[in-house]
Amino acid sequence: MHDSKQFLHPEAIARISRLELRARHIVEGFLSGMHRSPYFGQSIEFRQHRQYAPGDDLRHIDWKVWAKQDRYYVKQFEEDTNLRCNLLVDVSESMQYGSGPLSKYQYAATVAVSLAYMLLRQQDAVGCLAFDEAVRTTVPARSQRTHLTAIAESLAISKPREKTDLHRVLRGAAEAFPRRGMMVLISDLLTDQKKLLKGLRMLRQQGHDVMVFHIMDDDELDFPFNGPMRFEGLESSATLNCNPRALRAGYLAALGRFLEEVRRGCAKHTVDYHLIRTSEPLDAALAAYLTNRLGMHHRN
Amino acid sequence: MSFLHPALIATWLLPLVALPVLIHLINLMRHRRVRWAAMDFLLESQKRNRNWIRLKQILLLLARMAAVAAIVLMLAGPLLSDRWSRLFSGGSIHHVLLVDDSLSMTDQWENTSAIDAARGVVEHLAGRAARQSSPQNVTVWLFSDAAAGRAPEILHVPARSELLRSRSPAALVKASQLAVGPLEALEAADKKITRRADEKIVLYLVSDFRTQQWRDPAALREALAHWTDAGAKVELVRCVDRGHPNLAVTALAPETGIQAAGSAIRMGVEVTNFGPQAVRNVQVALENQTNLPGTSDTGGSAAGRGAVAERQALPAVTIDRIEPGKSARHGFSVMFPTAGDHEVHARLGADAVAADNERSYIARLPVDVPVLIVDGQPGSDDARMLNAALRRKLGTRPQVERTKYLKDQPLDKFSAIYLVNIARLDANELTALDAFAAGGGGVVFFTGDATRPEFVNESLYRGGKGMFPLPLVSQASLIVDRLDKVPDVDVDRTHPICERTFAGQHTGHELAGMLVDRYFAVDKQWRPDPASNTRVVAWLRNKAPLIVEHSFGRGTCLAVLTTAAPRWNNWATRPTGVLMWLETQVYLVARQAPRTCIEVGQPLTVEFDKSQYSPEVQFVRPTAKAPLRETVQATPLAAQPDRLSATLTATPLAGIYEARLKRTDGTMEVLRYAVNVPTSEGNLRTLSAEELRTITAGSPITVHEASEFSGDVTQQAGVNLGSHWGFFVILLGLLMVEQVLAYSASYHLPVSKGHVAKGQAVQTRGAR
Repeated sequence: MHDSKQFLHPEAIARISRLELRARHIVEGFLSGMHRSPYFGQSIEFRQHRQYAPGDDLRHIDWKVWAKQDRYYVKQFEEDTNLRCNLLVDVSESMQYGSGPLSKYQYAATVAVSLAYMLLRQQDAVGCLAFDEAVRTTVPARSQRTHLTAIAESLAISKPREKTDLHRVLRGAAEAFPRRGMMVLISDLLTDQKKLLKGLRMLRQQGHDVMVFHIMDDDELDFPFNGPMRFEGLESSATLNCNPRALRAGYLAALGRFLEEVRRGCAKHTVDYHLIRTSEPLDAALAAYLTNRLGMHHRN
Repeated sequence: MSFLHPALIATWLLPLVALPVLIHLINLMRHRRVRWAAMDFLLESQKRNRNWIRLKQILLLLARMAAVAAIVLMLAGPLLSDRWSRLFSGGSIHHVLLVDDSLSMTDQWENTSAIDAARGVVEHLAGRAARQSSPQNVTVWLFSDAAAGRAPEILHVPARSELLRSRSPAALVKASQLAVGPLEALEAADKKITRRADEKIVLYLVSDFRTQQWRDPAALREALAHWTDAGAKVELVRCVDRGHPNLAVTALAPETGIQAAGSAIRMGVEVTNFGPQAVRNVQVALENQTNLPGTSDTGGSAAGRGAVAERQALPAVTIDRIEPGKSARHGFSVMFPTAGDHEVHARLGADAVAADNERSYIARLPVDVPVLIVDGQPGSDDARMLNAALRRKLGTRPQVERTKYLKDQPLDKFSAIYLVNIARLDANELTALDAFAAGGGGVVFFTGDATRPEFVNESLYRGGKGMFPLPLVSQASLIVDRLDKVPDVDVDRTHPICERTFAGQHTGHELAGMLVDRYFAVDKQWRPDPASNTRVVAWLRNKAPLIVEHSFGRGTCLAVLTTAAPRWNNWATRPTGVLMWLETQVYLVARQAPRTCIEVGQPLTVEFDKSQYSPEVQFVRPTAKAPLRETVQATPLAAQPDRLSATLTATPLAGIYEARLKRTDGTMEVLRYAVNVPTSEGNLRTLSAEELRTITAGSPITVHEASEFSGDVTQQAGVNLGSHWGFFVILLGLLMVEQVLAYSASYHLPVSKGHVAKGQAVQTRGAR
């Protein structure tokens, strides 16, 4: 059976070196698997009719069609967006880890560019901010399609380094983007949990719609190590010689507590949170985004 | 605890036990490096579980070390102290091994023998003692040595000494042909073995425990109690599990006494069945070897045996049936044509004990047998009739003399002196006659008209201290009773003279023809003293004694209270009467016959005239190899200073021994002796273990079988835990504990596929 997502697996994506191409490949591949345009909303430009189904908003019923054919149809329009979306991509040292074809950083960058491509395609303005313990590069939000190259280049040249200081970065982002928009944080969140939630809360308080894509490697989530190991911290000087299997349960418990707290914190601040494995197909982030967008419309 | 392979412990235990530690250290150097992002969670986990993980790792390390140690121990063969092992533990031990080497230990069955079993026990115990770490001393003492007072060759020797390494104590254990029991050995060892306060004694009595040797259990119990009361541990080790059938030649001797050369001698061979079942058709092979007269000019031939002739096979005799535990005799005749020492051998077929299947006899035949007849009334019929009767015996040379011959001529050459109807003897004659009788000669008194009771009672009877057996009263006539059919004379048929004279005749017909008219009566109250050696051989119808025997010194005296001539009786005219005098002569000669047969272990004594021989006597005795010569200096006899005596004390082997006497003229005289195995050792019936336990009940004495000591020394050193199933269970348990600990310490992959256990890994899901 044909799998429409077969080209969205990290193994396949890893073979595409340029981020723009990756984004196009992902987005086109993702959209080609859908039976209808995901971009529906209130807009001027009419798209199509659809037979009424219970639950549809009565305001959208095309009464002219009803008058002619005695049938209920609702009108659907191309969404008219004027969204400003800023992609906050973590490029710290911890993002360098990767056990699969893509490191967390590569995965995050690919997700970011794919989102940018999809947003630019629907005329939204997209900006990008790469950070570690401080903002490294900033690409202002634009809606031109050529802007994708700038975003891709800003991520491509940002090699992982230094520690992560999300609170500082988020505070900076809040100050830099005072206009309401969408903030998409793509990170492994390996930083101070309280500061992270504090930064997210700050963004929410400014009216931003915040999405968190929590990128984690399989190794980090499963901890499948065997045999004597020496773990050396990517963002710290700590080292640990151990039998990893002996620490696995404790590690997973600690990780689980962390994830749970992050998840609760996000829920508390109405932040859309998605934990994504680097081994999962890259359309997961796009699907999550679209789900979020629909939900946002519903919320709005 | 000891080990079968202690070197394995010493060499490999520590390195192998240290192996898990070494592997652990190597693994520390082989850490795989990973640059890791989520260090905080890892450090938190490590901080939370550090102590628990370390404890499990230490337990795991200990479990692995214990498992390795258990495997090494198993291979090394740990020996759990069993009851035997405990005998070897507990400080300094002195193992006293009293080993039975009597003839019965040659009992052989299948491919082994009792002495082989004893040898195995000695080797095993000595080897086992050498393997102990605590001080162990060993004493090995044979019954024969202990009984003879010889010190043991191995006395309190350290088990690990060079002496025991170079020479196995089992090599000392050889069966002798002696009949020596455990009692003598125990008593000798009790005196010889020194008990030390810092040393525990374990006494092993290694024997076949023949019933014969344990006839007096009380004495043995007492002897063993000496050891147990002193704190010694006593172990009885049975070398034979049961008695085996055995036949033995238990007697080989002339039936009629030794006569002169040229006469046929009737001999008898006795075979005893010591087995539990009757045997049939027992064939006894017989051989005769005639030696030249016991004189040699050269002092011996090349063979060291003097002048000998070849052995001649005699017709074998067959004994039809011998009941179990019984003996059967069979007679045969042997002709000895010449004077000198003649060997007769009887041999049975092979059975459990070989040595008692053969028996030898030495017949020392003179050229003739001189007999002196002292005629109290010269020219009387008494001497003539007696002379005529004795001449009928081949080789007997009677000589009739008057009484003064007794004091004028030496009497040593005569085998017997017959005093016929003598009235009296003067003091010198009496002295010479006393000396003759006391020296072993035979004296026969025939009474008659001239006999004076006063003289007899005063000079010959002497209140019971003289040679005459009884006091006389007066002549008397036996009243004739025509109606009474009882014979005039009755005899003691168990006496050798009467036994042979009347052999097979129990009807009294021959006795009925022997009439007595007159005799010398004695006091009616006279009865032979039961404690004395006076014996009535024949008596009259009226119960008056007629022939009385009495021992005087080493000699034998007979008093015939009637005449030799048919004046007071008709004996001389009756064949039975003549035969009786001839048997009397045979009896007297036989009593004087030199003792040419002894048993193994008995001293061989030669007595000879000081004036005729040199005091140096050379004995030649058989050994397992060549005959051994031993010179013994003769010493004067206390009772007879003019005679010398030389004794060979060592007669350990059966066979023909020689005593070589050097005459004053330089020629040699060779006397031969047959040394036979003791007949008692042929009885192989043994005490069962239960019987032994019953005998030793109540004392801390244990009974063992020699088979408990068979096989490799190392395999008997205790219970080998290495091959015990329990040890495997423990080892398995250790390995299981190790596996559980290893799993617990996360050194094993989880059961589920892949590296992540189901439900454990963090699932990715969204949340809002």
